[in-house]
Parts: sequence; C-alpha cells; structure tokens
Amino acid sequence: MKPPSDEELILHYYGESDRAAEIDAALDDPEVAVRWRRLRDVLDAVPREAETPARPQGYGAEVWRRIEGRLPERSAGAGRLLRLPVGEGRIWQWAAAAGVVLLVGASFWVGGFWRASTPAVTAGEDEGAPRVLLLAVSDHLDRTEMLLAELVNRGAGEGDVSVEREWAEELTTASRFYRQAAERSGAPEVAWFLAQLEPVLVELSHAPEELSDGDLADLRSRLERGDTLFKIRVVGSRLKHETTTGARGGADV
Amino acid sequence: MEPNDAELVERAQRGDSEAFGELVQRHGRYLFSVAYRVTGDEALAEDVVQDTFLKAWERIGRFDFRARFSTWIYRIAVNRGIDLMRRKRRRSTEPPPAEAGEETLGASEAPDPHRLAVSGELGRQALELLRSLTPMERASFVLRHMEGRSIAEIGEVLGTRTSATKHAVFRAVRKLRSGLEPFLGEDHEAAVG
Repeated sequence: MKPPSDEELILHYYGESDRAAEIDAALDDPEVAVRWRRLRDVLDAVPREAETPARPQGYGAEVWRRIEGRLPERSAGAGRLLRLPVGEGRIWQWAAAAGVVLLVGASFWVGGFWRASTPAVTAGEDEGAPRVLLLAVSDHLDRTEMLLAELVNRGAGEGDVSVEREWAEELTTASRFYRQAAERSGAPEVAWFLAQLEPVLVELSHAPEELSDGDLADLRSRLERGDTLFKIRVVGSRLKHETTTGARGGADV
Repeated sequence: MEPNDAELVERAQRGDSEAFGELVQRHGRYLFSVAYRVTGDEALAEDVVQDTFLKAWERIGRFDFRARFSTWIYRIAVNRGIDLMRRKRRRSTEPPPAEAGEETLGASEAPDPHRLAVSGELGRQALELLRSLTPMERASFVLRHMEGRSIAEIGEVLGTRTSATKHAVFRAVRKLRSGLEPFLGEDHEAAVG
C-alpha cells in the first residue's frame, strides 16, 4: 500500500479519512509511525478550547441596546425565498429554481429595473425575480471582495493560493451565471460590472498553486490601481440597499 | 409561555423589531463565544456580534427555517469574523504575533519541551501561532480542531468546496507544525526513536 501522505494523516487524526483501516495498518511502518507521532504531538499541543472572556448574563440585552437604534430599514419579506448558492453543487439547484422565476419575471422588469423613474416595488410574488437576482449578486460580490481582500492582505512568503484558486473557480462559475441572468433580465449595468470582474477571477482560478512575492505585489497593485475592492463594495452596498428597501435609483455601476 | 425562536423570527420577518431584540438577548452570549473562538480577539469579537445581528436583521426575510436560527447566525458570525480579521490584518502595521511569540520563546532560550508542556506554554504558543494564520486558515482550523466540525460542515459554513476547505486546514496545520516542532523536536525523536 502507498504510504499515507501528510494530508491523509491530518484527516485521519480528525477521524475523517476514507482509508482509516489502511492508515492504521500503515502505522506499523516505522517511518509512517514517526510522521504520525510528530503530527499528533503538534495537534495535541493545540488546545481544544480557547478560554473565552466571560460575558454577563445580561450581555444580550446590552448588545440589543447598542444596536437597536442602528437597525437598517428593510421591507418585510424581501427575498424570502432566496437560498444562496454557496457550497458545492448548490449553485445548480439554485440556478434551476431561479431560471423558472426569471422566465416568469422577465417581462415585468425587462428594460425597467434600473430606470430612476420606476416607482419602488413593494414585496410580493411577482416582484421576487429582480430582488432574488440582485440579492444573490450582492452576496456574490461580498464573497468576491472577501477573496480579493484575502490576497491583497498577504504578506511576503504567503503565496500559497491553492485554496483561493478553487474559490475563484467557483466564483467564476457563479459570476457567469449571474451575468447571463442579469443580461436576460434587463439589468445590463449589473451584467457589465460582473463582466469587468470576471477576468480577475478567471486569472486567479488558473494561477499556479504558489505565487511569488512579486506576483502577489503585482496583483495587489493592479487591484489597487483599479480601485477594484472599493468598486465591489460600493456596487454591492447599492444593490443591497435597493433590494432591502425597495428604493430605486439610476445605478451607474 | 415564552415564544420559541421560530415564532420570534416570524414576527421579526413581519418587521417586529422587539421580537428581533428578544432573539438578540437570547443568543448574544453564544454568538460572542463563537466570534471570540474564530477571531481570538475580544474587541473584534464584540464587533462581530453587533455586525452579525445587524446583518441578520437585514436578511431575516430570507431565513427559510430549514436550519435553526442559532445555526443561521453562527454562519453569519463566522464569515463576518473572517471579514473583520482580514480588515484588521490589512490595517495592522505591527509585526505578526508569531514573530512576537518567537521572541519570547526563541531558540537562544533553549526551551525545555517538558517544561513548556507542563506549564501550558506550548498551548499558549500554539494559540499565538493561530494568530499568524490567514483568516480563512484560522477559521477553518478552529472550526475543525476546536469546534469539532467536519470538513463538509465547515465548507457549508464558509461557502467553500470540500477540497478548498481541506486545503485551508492542511495549510494551517503545516504552519502550526513549522512553528511548534522546534519546541517538540528532541522530545519527538526520543519518543519515537
């Protein structure tokens, strides 16, 4: 049997290995046993619980006092049916459901969604489509911002982007879907904005697992030059505001 | 009889802020402990708690009762924690905490592994090292190691694929190993040799 990799030993430590019996057997090999012992000693040294600073019984009430006056306005029931497309495979389930909603809703808002003169829409079944899509795009932008912020904040020697690469791949797929849905639904500004972001996501999804410090600096400089994170934040907030309050404005994204 | 969470959520979905306030009061302490575990920073955890409830209010119309309310806000809090850690990391001009830790436990002091283990220093060093991880690595590792969540559950919370979640945990473990093994080295060899 092929000796287990370090990654397989980590999964084994947490009881998540698909080859638990094989790995147990492989531990008879002294070389594997040494690696296993070292890993176990390291992970055993990390406490299972971090001491949490105490909070009094009435802490929740105190939090409520702090935020009560700051609750953002929202229209009741907005986007009630939305299930965000996060995680493996879920986007396709969402896509199937959203496709039906978009077909029904398309005639309602083709060409009209972004017009400043359009009156605000109140929550209801017929108006679900635009809100569902725009809420999803706004969350997609949140996640895109998180990904890019993760990379922008990297320091020297932190060029391992294996996780971010997969994340970018997933976001690319989502972005294409939302862009097409926005085009079909008469929200060309949203589609245009997503199209501007897509090359960055595609580039990241095809990046090598390890970026050099120079590559990271180059990426950071390009993102900063284009104010990319700022634009994502602004457009995301605007979409969120419009979908939660029903307010409409000329959205020059 | 006191209304349950689901009843309060339904009322909050209809715009009843008092019902939402009741939810905040019920779940505030729980959320603080989640936020603190994820961020390891008391002030940041406070911000996470407030932001999470503000976000929850904004999105409560989308809560579909498929999960419990506490699970739903847990997800928001973890992601908000990652977000705020990233912002803090970006603003910070201080040297990474791991380096600070190395200064106190540097090789020149020739730390004795037994002494470290017995005094709990090793655990403290490990917690310091957690601060040097990227927010995604830290959150993935904390959820796996401290909260005992499976890789699949972590992916669900963070919205990442299984393979990406695994890689985040692997990367965290790799960094912890390189930070802790110098303090365990000789002991290891003696133990397994």
